[in-house]
Amino acid sequence: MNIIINEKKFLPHRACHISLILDKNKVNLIKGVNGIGKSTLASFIKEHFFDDVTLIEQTPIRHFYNRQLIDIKNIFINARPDHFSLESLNYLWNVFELERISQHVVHQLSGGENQCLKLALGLSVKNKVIIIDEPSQYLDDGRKEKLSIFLNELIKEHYVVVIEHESSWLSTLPQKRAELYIEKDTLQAKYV
Amino acid sequence: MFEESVRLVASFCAGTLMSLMGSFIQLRSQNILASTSTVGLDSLSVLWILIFHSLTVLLGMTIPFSGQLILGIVVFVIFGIYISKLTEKKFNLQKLLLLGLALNLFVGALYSLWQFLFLAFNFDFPTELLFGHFRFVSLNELFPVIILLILFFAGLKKYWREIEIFSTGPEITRLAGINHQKMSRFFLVLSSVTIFILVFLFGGFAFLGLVLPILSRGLWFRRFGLKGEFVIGGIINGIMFMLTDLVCYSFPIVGAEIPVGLLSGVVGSLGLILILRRAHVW
Repeated sequence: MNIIINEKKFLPHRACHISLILDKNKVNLIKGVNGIGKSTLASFIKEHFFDDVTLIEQTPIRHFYNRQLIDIKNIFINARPDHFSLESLNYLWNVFELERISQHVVHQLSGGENQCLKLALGLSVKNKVIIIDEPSQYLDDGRKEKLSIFLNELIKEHYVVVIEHESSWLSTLPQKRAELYIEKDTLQAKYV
Repeated sequence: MFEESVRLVASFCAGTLMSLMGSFIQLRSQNILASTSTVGLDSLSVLWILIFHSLTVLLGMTIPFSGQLILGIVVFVIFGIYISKLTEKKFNLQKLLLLGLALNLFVGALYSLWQFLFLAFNFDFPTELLFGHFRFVSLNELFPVIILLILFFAGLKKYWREIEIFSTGPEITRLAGINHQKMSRFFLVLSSVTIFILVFLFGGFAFLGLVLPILSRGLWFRRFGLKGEFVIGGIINGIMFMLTDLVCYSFPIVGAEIPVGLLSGVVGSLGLILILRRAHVW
């Protein structure tokens, strides 16, 4: 699957000329230095290319109505997202041990717990392309391992794109790695 | 008795509408300081009415009541669509609140200046525009607010799934892939038109749209969830506002009735100070 981006005003000061070739059965890893535009690229793909893209963003879940996790889970299920898998949500809910803290409200969550909640909800929406921006942030080694086991299954049916700086936890999975770089004020990608 | 009943129903509808609008705007912006007054919609309504009043008095233009109302509704529908488009892009509530503050200051100052000049030259001036009341309410004024209330509840029923998922935050809404733009546009346009109609028919009720939803949330959200805030809280706030108006009606001071908007303005602004204190602003 190819994603081609040719944008003169990708960022206010930067153009973008990128051709991403996504594979199934591999984790499509995207790397690049801080501030190069990895998250912007993910948002751009979500916004412009596909209705069937799941994007799990880097930003933590914020709360205005301070609800318990179990209420959020039920509201999410009742929202009936397209391509939603209750089986996946329940699986991730258990492996990330969210059941244990299901009576907690969002503002009580640690960074890692917030990340687990976001991953559990996001990865249960199984669109054709699933982009995960820095999935391992705040996660302990045990949860990283559980996530990599889940991704190993996910890549069989979906195009999984992972934006990650430190990717040693994914070393057991087959990978295809694109490196972002800047040339002549243009964001580009090369496969390494 | 009939006139009193019309007045009671009108004040109930207005109170419920202000609570519902405030709840929606705070939910949409995920900020307790957002309301129709703090984003400047009340001030724009006052400005629009002042412009019409000035044209009528100074240029002798005679635009019928219904014509003014319909033209205002069209303008505020457009304005609601504009705000909705703004929020669909990179939504920066702080900028919108600052703009609202600037508008409130501008319209407040302009209103005082206009009042001074009009009274100095012995022109008629709507002195109670900033502080609304229900003294002369008839069925003509009651019908539009009943229709608005029905529209609000119909919108809640239609878009409840989107409202509930959006209340979990924009991040989760995006994860669910739920498009909330239609729902947002519907309620923003409806709120824009509603606040104009309320100000046009009865005058302004400052700060109520800010304080009432916070009260509803504090009292009813934990036990009954979002329905507790919107439905139970909205209706109880409507009843409380109606009772406040009834007190103003029943206990005139030296033969004159205090506009309920004046009373609610004092209580509402004090409530805002208390809310800011509770939020540890200082």
